[in-house]
Amino acid sequence: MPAYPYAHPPFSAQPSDPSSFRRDFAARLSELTVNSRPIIQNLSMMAQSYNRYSDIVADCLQAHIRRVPAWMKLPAFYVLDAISKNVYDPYAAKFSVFIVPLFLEAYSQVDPQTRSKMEEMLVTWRTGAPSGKELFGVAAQVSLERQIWGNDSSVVAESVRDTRLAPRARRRLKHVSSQQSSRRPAQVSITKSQVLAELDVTLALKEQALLVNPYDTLATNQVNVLRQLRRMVEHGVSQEELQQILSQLRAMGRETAAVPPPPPPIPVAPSLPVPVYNAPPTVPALSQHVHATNSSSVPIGLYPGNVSVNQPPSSSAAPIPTAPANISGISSLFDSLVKAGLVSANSTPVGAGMNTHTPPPAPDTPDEVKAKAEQKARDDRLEVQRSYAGKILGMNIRLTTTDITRQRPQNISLLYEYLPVQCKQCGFRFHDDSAGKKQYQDHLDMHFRQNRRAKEVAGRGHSRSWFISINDWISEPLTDVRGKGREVLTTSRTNTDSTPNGSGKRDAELRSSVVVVPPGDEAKNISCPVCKETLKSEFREEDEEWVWQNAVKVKDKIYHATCHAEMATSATLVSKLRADESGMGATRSRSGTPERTTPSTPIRSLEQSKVQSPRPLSPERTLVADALTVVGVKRKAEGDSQGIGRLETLTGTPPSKKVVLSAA
Amino acid sequence: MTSDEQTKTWVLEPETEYRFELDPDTTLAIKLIKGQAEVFGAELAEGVVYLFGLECKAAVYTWQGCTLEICRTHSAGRRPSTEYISDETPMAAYMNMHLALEQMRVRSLSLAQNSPIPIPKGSSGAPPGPPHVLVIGPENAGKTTACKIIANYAVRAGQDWAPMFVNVDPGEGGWTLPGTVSACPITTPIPTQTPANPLGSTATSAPTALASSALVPLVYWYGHAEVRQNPLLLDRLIRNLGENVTSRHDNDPLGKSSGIIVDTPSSFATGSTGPASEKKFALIQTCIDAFHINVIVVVGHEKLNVEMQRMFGSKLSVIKLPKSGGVVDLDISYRERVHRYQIHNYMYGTHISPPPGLVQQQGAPGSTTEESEFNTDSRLSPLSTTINFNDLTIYRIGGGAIAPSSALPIGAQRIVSELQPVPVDPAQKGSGLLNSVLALLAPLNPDDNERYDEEVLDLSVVAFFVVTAVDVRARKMTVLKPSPGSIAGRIALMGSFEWQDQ
Repeated sequence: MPAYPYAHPPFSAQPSDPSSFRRDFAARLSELTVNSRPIIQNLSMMAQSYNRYSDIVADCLQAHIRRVPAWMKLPAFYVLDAISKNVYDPYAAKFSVFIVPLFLEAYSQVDPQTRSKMEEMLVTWRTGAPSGKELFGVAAQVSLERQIWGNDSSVVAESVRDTRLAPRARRRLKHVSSQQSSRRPAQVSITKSQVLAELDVTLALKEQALLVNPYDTLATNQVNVLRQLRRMVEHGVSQEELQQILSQLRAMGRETAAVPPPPPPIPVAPSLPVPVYNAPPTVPALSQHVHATNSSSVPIGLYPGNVSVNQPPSSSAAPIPTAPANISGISSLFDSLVKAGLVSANSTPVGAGMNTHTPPPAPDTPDEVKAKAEQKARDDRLEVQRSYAGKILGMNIRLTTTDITRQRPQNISLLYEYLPVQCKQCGFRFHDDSAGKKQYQDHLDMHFRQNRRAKEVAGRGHSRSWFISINDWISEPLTDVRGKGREVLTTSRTNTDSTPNGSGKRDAELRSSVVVVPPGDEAKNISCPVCKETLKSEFREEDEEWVWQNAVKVKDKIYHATCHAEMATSATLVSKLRADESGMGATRSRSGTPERTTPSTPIRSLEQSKVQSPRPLSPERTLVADALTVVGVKRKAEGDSQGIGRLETLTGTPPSKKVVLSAA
Repeated sequence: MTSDEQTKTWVLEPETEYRFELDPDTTLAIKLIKGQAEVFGAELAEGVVYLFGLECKAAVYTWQGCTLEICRTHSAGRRPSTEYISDETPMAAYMNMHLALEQMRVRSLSLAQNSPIPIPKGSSGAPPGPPHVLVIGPENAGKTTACKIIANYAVRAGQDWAPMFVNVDPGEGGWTLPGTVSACPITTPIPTQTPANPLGSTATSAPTALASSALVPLVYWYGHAEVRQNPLLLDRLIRNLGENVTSRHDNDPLGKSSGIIVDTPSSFATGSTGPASEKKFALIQTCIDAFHINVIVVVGHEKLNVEMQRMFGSKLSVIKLPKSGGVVDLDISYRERVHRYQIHNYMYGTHISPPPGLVQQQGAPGSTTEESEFNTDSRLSPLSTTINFNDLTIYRIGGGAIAPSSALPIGAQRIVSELQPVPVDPAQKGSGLLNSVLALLAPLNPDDNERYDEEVLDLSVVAFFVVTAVDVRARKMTVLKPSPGSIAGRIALMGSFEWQDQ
């Protein structure tokens, strides 16, 4: 059983036999009268630790949900949701036996508000399994969706998922598949509520992306468009339009999932709190240990309050690796809506009919915004270059020995005052204009990533990388993003390695965790290795001790508890990204429900995605490429025969070698 | 000795420098308390502890004055290493040099961007195009340091310059091992820490706080420390480097405008590479051709400057830079120790133990000063594997120690040419493989039609490894390699370097 260093003991009693486990579990479940995160978490942990009693858990849950009054059902469903997504095996299979009647029964009893929450949950189940497939199987999902919304949407989703075709082709496919679904031949009706539910999921996803990266103008636009769409749908649009929106939304979701993002840049200045982990303690973030086997931790967060429609989530769940918004996805959605006459170019929703309220002014389409920003950046840069050139050329110095050795240097300030922004960690300097600040920001991000990674992988072996091949070296400038520092080389990391120690404790809990200051060290300034800020110490009356606030001690180092958790979460982000990249094409659920990482292949694809380059660049990848080139080599020369012919022995290298190498 | 005595505060006047020469097993920690300071052009951040070790000899210079806190260790009974403040430095000249090169860069860039800037009068004198600088000089003149300062100032200009730093001194080691020639674009200031990585260290899988640790060089293996051991091979490798640098710059207008800085061994300038006087500066000519040199910088050698003026003055600029008084004369045993440090550093990374006084100062429990507390630290784990003789094709270029052609009797032909790859049979007695440092080469061209006889000479290095044991009976050898990648089926080149893990 994994250790939970900062968690409150998940359960006090240690039930050792089935009957006492049943008693304990049922008792705790009965305490769940409101949506309480700690209780849900504890229950989920319990289920994880005692998965040999999965039957009992299933029994208890089912009985509980059926028994309790309608207003208590939703929290119990969240338990079910958490367990099946996080632990998955064997629970999902057990639950799938009764999930359909149970869900439908509850759905019929609850109030409309709760219904929409349940619908949201249902949407996340579509891709809730670790493999990105339906959490409770296709049959259950289809059956549920059909009865809730009365259509074949999951079949559609299936066909859309399997392709990476153009939207048009997808629509055609969808058409075909809906025709094929013979049981309900004519009726392909999509209800407003379904579309709204999906819209909300997508919207929340984007908004979280925005929180992670507040400077992403693209994401801002997407969110605007989505909000607009949502208002439109609320006012009522035609069946056909609903369907179109739905399919576009899904296509977008797929694309978003398929486009591998670089790790979300987290803006960190040493003096600034990182927005995500310093979010207010009301964050309904919830993380749990996921794999019973390797206990890696992934956040979940499908709990009410964080997505309500008119009040955009002000807090996010533990950061979800939302892809920095896919340009083509969103703009094609918007464009096609404009074409379809759904949205007029000046953004008055046509389908909304005679509504009275005024939509916000139309944002530029993302492409335009991007192009403008790029143009501006280019102009700024050119301007800086020109002014610098003027300064430099204005100096009266000639490239002669006399001038160089006799003159007093004319302008030392070019090295100092000219670049007033200085990195406190390495002393590198930047301009104080907007471009310089952006560079500085990127530079700090690089430091943050490096520090974080250093902590993450502390104590594990690193090694010198192989040098890249000549061709890669020559074409490197084409792909290198200058000034950012290279994001070099992933470390060889298995999923187990990214195990964070108890990440995902809620912020408030994190902040309340303290480390007792060793006697005599009260006056010392200790800084957190991650954010480099000083830890605050405080005298606790009740314990009569000095403590460091918001601190944890890991391997004899004191971290900010929040920083450490953030670090740990980001580790899982990486593995999540890998999972997404490995071709599952799963839509990220709004809740950030864990998609279990797949252990094979993804490293290479992740790297490619990171660089987004036409050529593989990092040494590992070169290595892979090299290994492949060697495969199949035939030596023509007779002369220096010895040994070279042996290259052919590599011809038989199995493909798996690739994986080994790239993981190396 | 108590920690109080070990920590000392130095106040530096503007345009002075604090110089230090460390003995073996001595560590020095420098913290900038106030003001601005730089080590060979790389600016120090205030309040950050910088460690120096492994007999590092360096200087902290300040343009505007600064206060340094310096903490050092030395083993008991040893005399303290040298340290003093000097107010005679050639930094003004280096800064002027930098500014003159900047003029060439901005002009070149504005031309490349089709936005020519009116060039004020009086700024002529520089050849057109981006600065392609060749730095030459006698031994112990501070050539590498001069290159480093010029490169660092360029990087610090805030113009995103990425000057190409080329090291053609096989005795130096550059980013990797001695015995190599290499080129690497510089994007962040090169730190100075130990002589084991004089130009910063190359990419490792270890995260480090220094962006410059992510340097990605292009490396060729010459295999010897001395130029005279195979000048023909060196000539060929320099031309290879030049070609690749040119190709790279075709993709990179900004990098191209940033120019090239070439650091050379002293033997290029002393003329000991060729017998006849017309071949005296053969390798300098090679560099000029390969890198399209337009500026020659002669560090601290009056006569050489005059000779260069005479030979090349009509075609390109020849500048003399003064030698720094801080340059230390280094003996052969020091250079050999540095070679050992470098190979160790390649395999195991760098770790400098901070002075104990410093640990006492800062080392509260929970934030010990070890590991990444000092951002210069990176420990690496190489790994040892056993491979079959047949897994690897090993060559030696020119077939081992050979006398120069001029030493042969008149009329005699060499049986093995200096550029011929000679297979090395590990099974043979006296193969010399044990403890030998080998360069693992990039694979041969996959296209048969592109193959040629001496292709091995033109392959770049992917990694280095050391043969730590040879078992002739089992036809196996044990090698120490930097990372887990397989070396089976590859080609390796032997040189004249040996190394034993202590």
